[in-house]
Amino acid sequence: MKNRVNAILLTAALSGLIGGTTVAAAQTAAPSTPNSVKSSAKVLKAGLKYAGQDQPAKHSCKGKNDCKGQGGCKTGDNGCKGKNSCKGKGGCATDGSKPQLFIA
Amino acid sequence: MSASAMSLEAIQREMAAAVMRPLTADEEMQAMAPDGRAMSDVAASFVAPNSRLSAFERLEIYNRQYWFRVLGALAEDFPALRAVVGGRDFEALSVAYLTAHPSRSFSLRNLGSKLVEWLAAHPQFAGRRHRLAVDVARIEWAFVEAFDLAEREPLTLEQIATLDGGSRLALQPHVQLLALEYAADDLVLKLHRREKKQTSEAGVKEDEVHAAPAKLPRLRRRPTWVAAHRLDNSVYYRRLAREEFFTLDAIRRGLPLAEALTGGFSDSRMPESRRASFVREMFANWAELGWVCAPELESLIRP
Amino acid sequence: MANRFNANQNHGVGIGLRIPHYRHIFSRKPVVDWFEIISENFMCDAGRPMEVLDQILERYRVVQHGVSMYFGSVTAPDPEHLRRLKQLVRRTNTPWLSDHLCWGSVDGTYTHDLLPLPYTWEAVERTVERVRAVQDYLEIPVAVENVSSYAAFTASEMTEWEFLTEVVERADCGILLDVNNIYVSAMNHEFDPMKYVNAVPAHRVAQIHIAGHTKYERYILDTHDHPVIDPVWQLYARAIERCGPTPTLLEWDDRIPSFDEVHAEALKANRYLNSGVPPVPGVPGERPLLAGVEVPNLGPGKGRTRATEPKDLRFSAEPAEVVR
Repeated sequence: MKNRVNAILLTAALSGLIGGTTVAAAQTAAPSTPNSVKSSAKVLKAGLKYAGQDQPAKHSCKGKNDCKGQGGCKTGDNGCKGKNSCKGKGGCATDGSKPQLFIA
Repeated sequence: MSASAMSLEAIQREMAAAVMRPLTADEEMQAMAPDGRAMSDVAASFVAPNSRLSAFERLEIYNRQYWFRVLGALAEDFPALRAVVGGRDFEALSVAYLTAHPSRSFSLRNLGSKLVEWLAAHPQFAGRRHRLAVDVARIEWAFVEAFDLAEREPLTLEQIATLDGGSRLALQPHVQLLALEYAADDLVLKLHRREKKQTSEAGVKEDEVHAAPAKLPRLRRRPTWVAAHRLDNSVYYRRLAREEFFTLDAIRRGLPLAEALTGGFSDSRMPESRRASFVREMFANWAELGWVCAPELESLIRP
Repeated sequence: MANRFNANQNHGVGIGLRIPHYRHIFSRKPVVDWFEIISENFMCDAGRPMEVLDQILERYRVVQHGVSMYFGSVTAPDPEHLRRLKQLVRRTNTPWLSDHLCWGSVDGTYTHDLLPLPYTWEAVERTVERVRAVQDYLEIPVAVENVSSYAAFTASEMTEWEFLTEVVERADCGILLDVNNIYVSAMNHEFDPMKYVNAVPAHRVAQIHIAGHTKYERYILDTHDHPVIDPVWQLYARAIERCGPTPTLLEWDDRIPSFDEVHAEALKANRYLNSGVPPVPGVPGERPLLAGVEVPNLGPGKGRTRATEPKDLRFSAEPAEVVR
C-alpha cells in the first residue's frame, strides 16, 4: 500500500516537473510575447519581490549611517561597503504587494 | 620591542590588533592594550607622531574607521534586526559579533555570514525578543545569499525523462530555505518598509529613530516556512507549505527523490487524497521557477 | 600617456560606476569615455550585479579597480579571491587592472581598510614579490595606487615616493597615480606634494585618479565626497605635464550628486589633457606651476587635551575646503 502511494507521488512529481519545465520553455521561446507578460505567471509564483532592487539606490551602497554622530567619516578609497562589496540592493523595502501564496 | 627591530609582520600584527579592538563608549581607542601596556606606548612603538597628532591619535583614526565601516556594513544588511533589538543594542550586538567573527573574506558581503548562528548562541544580546531576532536575522541573511549566489541550468525535459525514485536532484544555490519559529517574514517586510520611509524623510535623525527597539505587534510562535530566491535577477520570498519545505530540504540534502517525498510528508496532516495533486503542482511550480537542477557530479560521490 | 602599463590605450576621462547613476546610465546612455568598476562588487556568482556589468560592457569601456588585494600584506592572498578576480578579468576584458599599495589583512582576517606600509626595504621586497605573482597570474598589466594615509611608521627607511618607485621598478608594474591621495598624505605627513609628483617615474603611470576629500581640524580624510580642489588640480596638471595625456578617473563615493554633475567634474580634466601648456587653476599665470602646491595650515590643534576636548570639536565634520 505504502509503495503504491509513493509511486503515485513520484508520478505526480515527475509529471509536475515535465509540466513546469514545458511552461518555462514555452515562455522563453515565445518571441512575440513581451518579457513582462512572459514572466508574469512566474512572478505570481515567486512570492514577494524586494522592489528596491529594481530601483537605483537612493544612496550609495556606503552605509546609510556614515558619519552620523560619529565624529568622523569613513575614508573614500576603501571606506565604504559601496566600494567593496556593494550588493546593489538599493534598499530592501518591498513593493508593498500582497504575498502570492504558492500553494493554497 | 623597539621600532627599528620590528619586522613587517610584527608591525602588521600589532597594528591590526589595535585597529580591530573595540572602541570605548565614547568612540575612542582604548587606553590600555589587552596585555596591560598603555596604548600610547604601543602606538609609539611603531607609529610616528607629527606636529598635530600623537602616535596614539594617528592610530586611533584607523581604529575608528574600522569600526564605523564594519558596523555600517552590518547595519546595512540587517535593518530589520536592528529595528527589532533597537539601534543601541544592535551596535552592542554587532561589536560583540564582529569581535568574535571579524571578516574572513575579501568582501564585506560576507560580514554577516555567521551572525545567525552566533546570535542563536548568545541570547543576551537580543533580550526577550531573542528567538524572533534570530528569525529576522535568518531572513535578512537569506536575502543577501539569494541576491547573488549562483544560478545553474535547470533540469531539461531530457534529464527529467531519465528520473526515477532513486534519482538525486539539486536546488538552485540561490534558493534559501528557512524554517522559522515566528511569521517573521511579514514583520521583516513591515520593518523594511518603515526603514525606507524613515530614512527618506527629511529632518528625521536616524539615530534617534532607531535607538530604541521598534514597537512590534504581538507575535505568537507559529512555525513558518519560507523560501528566499531570485527570479530575473530580483530577490523574492514566499511562504512554503510544511510539506513543500521538507521535500525541498530533503532534495537539497541529497536524498533520492522517493525518500525526499516520503520525508516531505512525514507527520503530514494533509489527506492522502490531496497529496498527488499537491505534489504535481509543487513540482510544476519549482520547475517553472527553475529551482530544480541536476546535482553536481562531485556531490554524487559518497565517501 | 599610452604605455605598456595601460595596454597602450589612452581611454580619456572616466568616472567610477556607482549605483545611484545606474538608472541615468541605462535610460540616457550618456557618452562616457570609460567606467572604472570596483572589482570586488562584481566578484559574485550571479544576479543583478553581473546583469548590470554585462549591460555596461555592451556599451562602454571598463577598467577594473580593486580594493582588497593588499599587495603589502605579509600573509598570502586568498586563492579564491584571485580565482574570482581572474574570472572577472576574462569577463570584462579590462586592459589593465589596479589595486592599492597597502596592506589590510593578517592571517586571513580582513580590516577592509587600505592600511599604509612602513617604507622599509623588507616591505619593498615583500610587496614586489606579491605584485609580480598577481601580475603573472592575471596575465594583464597591473598598476599599484598610492593610498591616502593618516599614520607614518618609525621604521620607515625612505619617503613614500621612493618606496613607490622601488616597488614599481622592481616589480615592473604600472602606477595608478592618485593625485588627491598625494595631497591628503602630504597634508597629513607635512611634505610638499609637488615633490612627490615630480619624483614619480612618469613612464610607468598607467592611470590617474582625482577626487575630493574632507579637511578636519588636524588632518585630512580621503572621503571622495566633494569636488576636486584647486591644489589637487595643480598636482594633476603637473602629472599630465610629466606623463602626457593619461587615462583619468574621477572617484566620487559618498554624497554622490547627479550623474551629470559627477561627469562634468571629471571632464574638467580635459582642460589639462587637451592643452599643450596646462593652465594653473585659480588665476592663470599668477602662480608658477612648479613652485609647489600651497599648503594650508592645519595648525597644531587648539591644545585641547584628550580628556577635555569634545568629540565634535576634535573631529570637526565641517569640510574646510568646501563652500556649501
